Amino acid sequence: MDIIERLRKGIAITEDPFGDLAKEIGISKESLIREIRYYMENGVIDGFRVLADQNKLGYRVNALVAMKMDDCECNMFLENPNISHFYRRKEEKNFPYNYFAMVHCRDDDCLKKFSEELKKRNIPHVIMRTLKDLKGEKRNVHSSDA
Amino acid sequence: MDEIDKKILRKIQESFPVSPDPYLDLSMELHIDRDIIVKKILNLSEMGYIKRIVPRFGNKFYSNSIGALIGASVEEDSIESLAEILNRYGEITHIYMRDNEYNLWFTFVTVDENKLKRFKDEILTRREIKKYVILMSEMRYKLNVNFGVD
Repeated sequence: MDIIERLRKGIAITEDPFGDLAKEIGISKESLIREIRYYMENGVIDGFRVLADQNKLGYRVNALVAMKMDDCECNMFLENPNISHFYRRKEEKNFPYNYFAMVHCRDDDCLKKFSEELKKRNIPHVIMRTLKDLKGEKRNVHSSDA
Repeated sequence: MDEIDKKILRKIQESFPVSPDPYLDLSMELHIDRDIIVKKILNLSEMGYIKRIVPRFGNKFYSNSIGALIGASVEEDSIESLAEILNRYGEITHIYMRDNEYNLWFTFVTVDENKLKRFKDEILTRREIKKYVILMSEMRYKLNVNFGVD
């Protein structure tokens, strides 16, 4: 398997994360790190980070917010620490929105405030709350996620 | 979580060192004993606060790939079984159930346009999907998954 495809699945948090992954792939730890650094020098990978569980950290109100803007008032989204993803996408006839933000909040009030801010700016939007994370194996490990 | 946990958590959500002994690098950067770092991180993982180490992809990756956000309107009792099928695709990075008429949302990222076409033919034609929308990414302004701890 392509190493990028494997990295995308994530590396397990162990006492020796790169060593254990190298063993799994069947190469030495040194070659694995060399290969990763090669991708980093080429701009394919910027680096690594640890993926935290938003629910465990108290961010229980999460939503995908779709918005329609002709001119992006982007700063409002870039500066908001509750927004992790902010993308422009090609608008479709049956879904007339072109900007998408992932908003993470600890309570309903924070999400409501965000929506009010959009209303004040006359930005048409739809809020789609996260009801359940259906991705991957972790569902079995932490079934409390839902 | 104590203050040291929070300090570590802030740091590793931002960046995790690529190194033969990443915990030693973290130890030097945070001025915390290496053994404490290892113990704390393994404990955070055990407790479910952190899930895994993932790459932050760079511009080269994104400029070569196409990204689609797909919303599907799926019969309620078929959602779980459909999600299981979606989980078999390495190109699918997020899958969420949401409170909208499009109740299942997921992302499909690939360098090969044909893979998305094939996925469309194989999966999006399934009977339990009443309708769907494919929203192609045009511009990524922000990607920063770092949850504040205080």
